[in-house]
Amino acid sequence: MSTAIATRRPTRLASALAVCVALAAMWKLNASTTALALEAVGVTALTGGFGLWRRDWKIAGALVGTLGLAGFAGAVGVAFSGVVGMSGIIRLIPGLFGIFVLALALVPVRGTGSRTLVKVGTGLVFVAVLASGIFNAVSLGALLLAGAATVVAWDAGEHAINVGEHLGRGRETRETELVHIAGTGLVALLAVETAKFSGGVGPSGLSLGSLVLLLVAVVLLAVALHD
Amino acid sequence: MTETHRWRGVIALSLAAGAVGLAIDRPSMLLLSVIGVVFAAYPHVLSEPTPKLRIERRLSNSTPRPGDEVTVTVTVTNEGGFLPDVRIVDGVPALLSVSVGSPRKGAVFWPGRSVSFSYRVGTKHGKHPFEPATVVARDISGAWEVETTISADTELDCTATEADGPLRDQTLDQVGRIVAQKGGSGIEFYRTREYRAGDAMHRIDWNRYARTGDLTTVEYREENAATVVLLVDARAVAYRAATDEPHAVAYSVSAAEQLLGSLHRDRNLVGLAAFGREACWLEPGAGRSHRAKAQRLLATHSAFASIPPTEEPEHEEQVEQLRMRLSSTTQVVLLSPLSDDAIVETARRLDAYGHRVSVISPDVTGEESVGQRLAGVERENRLSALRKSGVPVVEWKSETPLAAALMNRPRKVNA
Repeated sequence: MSTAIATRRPTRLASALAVCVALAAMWKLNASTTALALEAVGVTALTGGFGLWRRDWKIAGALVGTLGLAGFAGAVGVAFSGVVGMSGIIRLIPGLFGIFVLALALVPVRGTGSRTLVKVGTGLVFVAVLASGIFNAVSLGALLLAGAATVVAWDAGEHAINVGEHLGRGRETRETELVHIAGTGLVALLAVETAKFSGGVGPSGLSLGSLVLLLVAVVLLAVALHD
Repeated sequence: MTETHRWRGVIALSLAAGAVGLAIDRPSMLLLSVIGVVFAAYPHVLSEPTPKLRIERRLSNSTPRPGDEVTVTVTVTNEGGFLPDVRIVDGVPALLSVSVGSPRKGAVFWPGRSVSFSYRVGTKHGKHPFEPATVVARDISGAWEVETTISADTELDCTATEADGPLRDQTLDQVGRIVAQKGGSGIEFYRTREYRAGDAMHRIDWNRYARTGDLTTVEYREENAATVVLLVDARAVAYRAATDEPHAVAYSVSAAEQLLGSLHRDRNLVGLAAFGREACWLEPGAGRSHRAKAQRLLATHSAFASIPPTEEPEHEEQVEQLRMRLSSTTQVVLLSPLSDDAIVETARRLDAYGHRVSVISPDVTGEESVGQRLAGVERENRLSALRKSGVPVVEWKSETPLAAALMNRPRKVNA
């Protein structure tokens, strides 16, 4: 009689969605499609490699995992060759690394997933979003969507770890994951619309400084609400 | 209810975006921080979940044999409002292991929805009550979390069929029928003796008188019902187990259950007592309702719980308490893994006070490590010490039925 041991690893669906949403964010920031496709292949191969390794197919696992790393290296290479100037590198490379780190956190490389690595990964994607904003590289709509997508990716990753801790990686958690991520996705769209709206109706006469003060006030209010 | 604070990070992101926007004079970055503010506000427009759930468990077989697999089907029904994220972990009995499927389930509950899931457990000897299921309900943002338990009385009883078959009647009868070693009125022939004036006419052996001319009286074996107290050692030290096996207390309780049945059947007065976190005492008695009461105590009394006690009263005190309760003619059947010297001392003392003590000792020692072997040797020493002082000990290895162990026991329990 084999005893089934609960695997308290991040759940598959939410993890996959987290990585996909992060890829979508990078796509919105005009990362090259080839690089993102290579990155996706790399992450998939890495996941498969770890899966095989865990099932004690060590050699096959190592080979497939190496393929994953190669895919990732290829993605970075393509991104490097495709971009022009320093600004492109600053904009896109952290994001590609971020997606890879996010995948490492959720596969997971060791233990039951790492919240810190999820934060680091999505944080790197957010650095890409910030850089794109600084260099004015993308349209406002794309920037907002990418920013919201970063938050959704982080939320999905954290949710995957947290459900995994409670219930383990199995088939029993799909509906709660979908409902949770759908909820966050809706709020993200709402947030994007709100941001666009407030950008549109903003009192154009108001100086940036006073706008910032207003914003800081709102943020402080939100902080106060949280504690 | 707890707050998970999982959305705290987005405020940091908002501030970062806002600060960068301010530094380099970019309104688009400020708008980016609006997204963070919306997410920070998101959990606060939601209310905390209030789970009202009911649980039902169905067992494919509630009285299996040891080693069988039982399918447990759990149905959880929502009797309250919408719950977007509910995580259920069923309370599988501590000693059983899940072999197929998972006792865990995540579900979205709209009002009135029922969700079922099932898993299989491998059974082991003993009675296994299910623990309450743990439920964690979160709101859709994940910011509010409520943890609670829902219970349903379910028990997996894996004792009834243990001593089945021809062995049981034969051997448990030996323990059950406790015959007196003195002649009197009964139905079994005991001896003949010389006639004494006053003996009843019908007791005189007239055949012998016709043959020899001597008057002799026939005596029959007197049958006394015995008063027996089944004493379960459920102190923390008795919660010992070999790897992956039920602990000794589970074995002791199951043995008590079986003895209870056979002793009652033979119309003995049977009582129940336990050393452990709490004194358990049931006055010796007979009859169906008394037996049912004893069985209920064995199944539900906290002294026999499946988790070891964290603190327990002084052993000496419990022994003294028990001694006050035992009447002078009461025998004691002690069920103990003999995991320390105190219990040996107690058995000797009770025996010295005139209560005939016999010991049934489930063997839970292993052979795997040096420590386990040492424990085994120590137990052997205790067994022989008890036997030396005249207390009969039945060794019960977990793989053999109790009935078989009793058949090999060294001597009868005498009244």
